[in-house]
Amino acid sequence: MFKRIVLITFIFSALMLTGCTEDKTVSTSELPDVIRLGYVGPLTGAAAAYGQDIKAGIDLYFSEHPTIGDKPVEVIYEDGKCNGADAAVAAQKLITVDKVRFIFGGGCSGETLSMAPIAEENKVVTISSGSSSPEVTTAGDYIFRDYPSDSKVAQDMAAYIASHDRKKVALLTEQTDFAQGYRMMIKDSMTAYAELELVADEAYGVDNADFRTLLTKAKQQEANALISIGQSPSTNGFVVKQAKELGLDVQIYGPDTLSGQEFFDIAKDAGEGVIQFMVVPDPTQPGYAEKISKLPEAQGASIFQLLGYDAAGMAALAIEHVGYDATAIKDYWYDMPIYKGIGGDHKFDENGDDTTKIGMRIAKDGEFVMTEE
Amino acid sequence: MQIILNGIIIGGIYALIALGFNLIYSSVRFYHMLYGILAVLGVYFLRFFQMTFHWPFALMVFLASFLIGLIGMASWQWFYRPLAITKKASSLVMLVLSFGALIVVQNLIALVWKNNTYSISITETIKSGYQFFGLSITFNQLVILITTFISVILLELFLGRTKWGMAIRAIGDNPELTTTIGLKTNQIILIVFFIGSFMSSISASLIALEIGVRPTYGLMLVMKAIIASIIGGIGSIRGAMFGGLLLGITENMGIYFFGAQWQEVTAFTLLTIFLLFRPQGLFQKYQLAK
Repeated sequence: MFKRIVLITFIFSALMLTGCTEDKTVSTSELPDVIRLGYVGPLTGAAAAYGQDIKAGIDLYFSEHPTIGDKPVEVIYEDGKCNGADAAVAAQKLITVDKVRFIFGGGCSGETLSMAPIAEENKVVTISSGSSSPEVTTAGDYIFRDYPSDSKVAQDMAAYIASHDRKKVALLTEQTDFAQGYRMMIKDSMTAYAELELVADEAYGVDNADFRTLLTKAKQQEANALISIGQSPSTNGFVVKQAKELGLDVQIYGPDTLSGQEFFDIAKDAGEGVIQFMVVPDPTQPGYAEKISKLPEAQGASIFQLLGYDAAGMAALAIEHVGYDATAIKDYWYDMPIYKGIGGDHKFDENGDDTTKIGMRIAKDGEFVMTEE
Repeated sequence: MQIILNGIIIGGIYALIALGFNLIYSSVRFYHMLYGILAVLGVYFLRFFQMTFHWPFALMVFLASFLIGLIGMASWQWFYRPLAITKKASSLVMLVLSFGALIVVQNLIALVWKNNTYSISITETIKSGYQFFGLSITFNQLVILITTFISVILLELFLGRTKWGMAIRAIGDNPELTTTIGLKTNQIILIVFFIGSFMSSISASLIALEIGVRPTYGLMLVMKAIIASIIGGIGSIRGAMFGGLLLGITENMGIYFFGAQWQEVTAFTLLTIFLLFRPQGLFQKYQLAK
């Protein structure tokens, strides 16, 4: 009897061990000699701050973990310049020339949306750490993001404005996929609050920097709240600067694209008190302080670095488990339990959207600081 | 009224940038596209001076513009002249060449200073504008208007009352004849390039006070200069000023009534109207291009 128990225990343990091994990682021989991953994001141009921050996070992860299953990792960086045309060309090059099966990016919604059909057609997984357009949600099966959709942020922003005194809202948006997607979400969210009045809804061309006439219209409509949705910190900086110069008495709100030293370089003291809604870092996450100390100073916001780091970590985890196969990586991610990242806890829903938290920051002494209000 | 005032301010900037462009065009008769990016380069020099030294703002603008003036002269002497004079290149060839040079310099600027937007400020704080009759105008905007006004007067006086100014006008009116009567054509063109480039840098520095600077602004500036020049009458100093003002006011009215996305459409519609119905521009008597 004792022998039978020992034998059964032995066989059961052996099966468990074998099963665990198979479930945990793929054989090294199934991985390519060099695991080449792609990156498309704005490395130059007005939105370069975000692209460079995401790149810094990815760089840090792979400097700490240079191999996956003993195979070296190489990330090939391409500049999407925060526009669809350049991003599409970059994605084509990565897929057809470099033969990557996985791309970090795009850094902007416009990049992601133009890359999505190419990635879907070629069965290549993408993960964005900076795209917030609601359209990304339905961009495809292989399209993921560890960044929240604007629809969530817009709801929070509308609720906040509705709960405060200044309710005559002017909306200034840049003509980009990101900003126009955000604009629609804001307008939709505002309909839930009868007390909110949209007195001006103005769009302006890409890279515009003279907003005086649009702000004059907002002033004439007696707006007392202004939502600035520019694609870059500099664009938002000019809106804020010129609003003060024109003497507008408004509370200014904005999204994640306010983040960046350029905003304060341009807006200077006029930027004080501006309120920003965006995904915010959680300093209580394990390893947060250590990673922040290793990362270079953020050009836009540290959250982009941390989400880039987390995207790299999730990519490595998936490849380690299922190999460098895009469809397998995609399936793994949809079923993946909560991933404890540095930028937050990540779990993808059925659309590849993440469940990241949204917070509020206020400009104070030349930087955005967390506020609990 | 505030819309018209905004238009006059931005129009003043366009006027200033068109002045130098017009002056150069009147002497060499080709579109000096490099002009726009040299103006932008002047702002990067200004920014470098601001970060390195703490001299008075006007002095730094002057020094940066002086350097750009010298670079402008060099661009004629060693870049344009061998092709325009020696090789007898057509104005179309010169235009394409100049445009190529603009792209090269734009990318060099991006390489050295990155593609970021930099702001240029005289003061460290942003102040509300001066209010009068319900209108608002900032200190920077007053500086722009006064500088434009003074520049136009000085340039008119220089061209009309000085020996060198008359020589420049003579070159513009009839380059071949000036050679036969003994004027040193190349020296005069060099002076024209210096003055034009100097003014471009001054105007770009003022623009930067309003909208900052980035490498890609070069093409935008030269396009505004061309439109303002054609509207005002290409080759005419007064025309450049009025062309710039009209362009600025029309653009701002377009933004107000149709939305900012129509800004460029408004500008090019105005240009098309002038090309169709008054191709010689507002000030015909200074028209030089035939």
